[in-house]
Amino acid sequence: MPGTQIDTPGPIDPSRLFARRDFAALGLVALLVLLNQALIQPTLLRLLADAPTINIAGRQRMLSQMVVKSALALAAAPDESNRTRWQGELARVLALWNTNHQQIRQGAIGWNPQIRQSLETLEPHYARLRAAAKTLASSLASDRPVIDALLEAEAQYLPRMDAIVNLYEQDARARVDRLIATGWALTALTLVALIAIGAFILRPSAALIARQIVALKNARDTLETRVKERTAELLRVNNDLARESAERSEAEERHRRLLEQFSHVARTTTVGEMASSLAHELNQPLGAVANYLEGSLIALDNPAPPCLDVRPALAKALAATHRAGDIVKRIRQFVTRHNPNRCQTAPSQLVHDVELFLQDDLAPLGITLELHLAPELPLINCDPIQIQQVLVNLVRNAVDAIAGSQTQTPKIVISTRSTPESTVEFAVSDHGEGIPSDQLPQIFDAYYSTRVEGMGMGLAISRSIIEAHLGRIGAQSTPNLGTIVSFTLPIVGH
Amino acid sequence: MPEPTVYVVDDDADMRDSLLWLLQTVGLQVEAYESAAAFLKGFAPKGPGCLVFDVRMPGTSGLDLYESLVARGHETPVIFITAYADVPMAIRAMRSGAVEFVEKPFNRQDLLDRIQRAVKDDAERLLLLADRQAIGRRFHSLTPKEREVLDLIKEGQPNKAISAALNITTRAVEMRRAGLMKKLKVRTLAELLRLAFERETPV
Repeated sequence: MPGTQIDTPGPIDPSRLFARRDFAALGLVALLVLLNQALIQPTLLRLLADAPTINIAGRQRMLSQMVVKSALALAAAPDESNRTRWQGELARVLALWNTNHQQIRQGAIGWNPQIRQSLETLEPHYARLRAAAKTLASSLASDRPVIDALLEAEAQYLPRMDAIVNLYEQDARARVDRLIATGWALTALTLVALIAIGAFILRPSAALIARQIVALKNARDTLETRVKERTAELLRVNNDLARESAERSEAEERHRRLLEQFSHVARTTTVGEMASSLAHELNQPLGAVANYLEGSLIALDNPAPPCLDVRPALAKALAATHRAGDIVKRIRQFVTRHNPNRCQTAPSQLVHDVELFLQDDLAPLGITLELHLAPELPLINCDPIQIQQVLVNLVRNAVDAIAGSQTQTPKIVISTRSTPESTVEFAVSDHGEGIPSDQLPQIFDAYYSTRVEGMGMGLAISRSIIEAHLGRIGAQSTPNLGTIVSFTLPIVGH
Repeated sequence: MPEPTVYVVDDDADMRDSLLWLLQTVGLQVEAYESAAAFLKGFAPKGPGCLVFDVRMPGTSGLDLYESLVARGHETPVIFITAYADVPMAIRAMRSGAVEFVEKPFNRQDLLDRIQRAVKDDAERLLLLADRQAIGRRFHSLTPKEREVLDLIKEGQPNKAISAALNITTRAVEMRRAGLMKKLKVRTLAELLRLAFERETPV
């Protein structure tokens, strides 16, 4: 069945294959999400935390300069009010710087260890700078050595602090770079995963679905076509059946009617039966007459028992001859009782009726009855039942002739044709044993039969029927080849 | 022996009556019946005879009638008269032991000849039967001892061998032999043997 089967890519069930692939894809996506959460998110958070640390480091550098600047301004203060202002300023900046320094030390945890080392080396300079600043902030007079110590400590402190800020910035940039790289890597991975999902799941799935849709569509189309075809076929078969059934019942009806007609005829005039009963009936009185006469002759020749009187025997013989005469009279009445029921008849129809009537007899014997009927024959004027009787009789003779021969495919042919003498000729031919030429002239005589059990009445009666219709009957035969018996009937108006 | 009788069974009155006449003209005693039933009621043969049956009769046919007679042990010969002979009918008739078969219309002289011959055969058969019965009675009168001797004589044994076999004297054998030959009314050994063997063959 084309189109109804869905193409499968292999022996594996596609739905199971895709279920497996779907799980793999989901797993991959989940892994990517987890990776993102594990790698990118903490780094981002760190970056957020990094910014204040870097800020504080930068600010510390600035605060250290402000400490030095405030200390120098304090030392150079021209009057007391300025001195007090700068003193307060130095104390404030120093406090901030100090707090900042503690925060930096704490914030350095988790950074590049180099930063902590730098912070460690920075520590003594910080301490000296702080000590100097403190001394300046507390003393009322400017002290030159302290200022020198302060400047010297700052000269040591500042570049180191600068280096630390740079280290922070470098470290932070490196982290951002790593984050960017990780982000790109994850993006690439995600893209690869998407491509893989597309290539291994979506595309084959889509292709499979497309194929299945096409297959389903084809199947539906095919199914529809088949349903249409089948419906049409069923309709046709139904019609055929209805027609056949009608034809059959018509044929059966015809057959039944024919059978009725024939059985009626058969009851009264079936050729063989009639001949047999006639022979038997006539045999009885004639045999009796012969017995009486023979006995009388014996009695007259040799009156051995002299008491026997010939006279009553002769009287009985006479009575028997009268009875025989009565039988003959009855036969004549019987034959002439029915006035032939003449009507205009189509010759082919006549033959078809005979075919129907004989079918059941011939089929079991394996004999084929063939009809070779001339088309458009004129109507004939006849008693159809009598003519059919003749045809049936001729076909039965043919059956007997075939039975006596060894024909492989026994066949009897009924043919019709019109003759130049304005008659229609019917012929029944067989490939049976044939009739010797010396017997041929006698076959239409009554009480002549080529068969042991034959009565010799069939062809005689046939001849009388045909001659009563003003037709002629005759036979041709070749021994071992077959016999053709044919008769003619005048067409209407001739 | 009583006069031979011909028994005619035919349902056709003309045929029956005319056959009766024909057979009477040649001096035969005839009994005619219109049916098998009537015949069976009247049939009581006292002497030789012949049956003339029509095959085709309403009710019991001639063949059936004859078969029932054979079944009852009658051996009277039969002549069937039929409108036309066919092979199965003839085979059936032969199997049941019928002697003749005549087809209608028949030649009268031929029928008469056949009847005469059948009657004569039957008379001979009856004579032979009577003979056999008489001989049978003679055999019955033998004593067991005589029968022993007879059996050995039939085997072709001489008197000496018989005396040895039966453990009696040769003289005793001779006496028994003379006795049984007298009872069987035979004079020579040849006659004795013919009678003994004939008795064993069926009629």
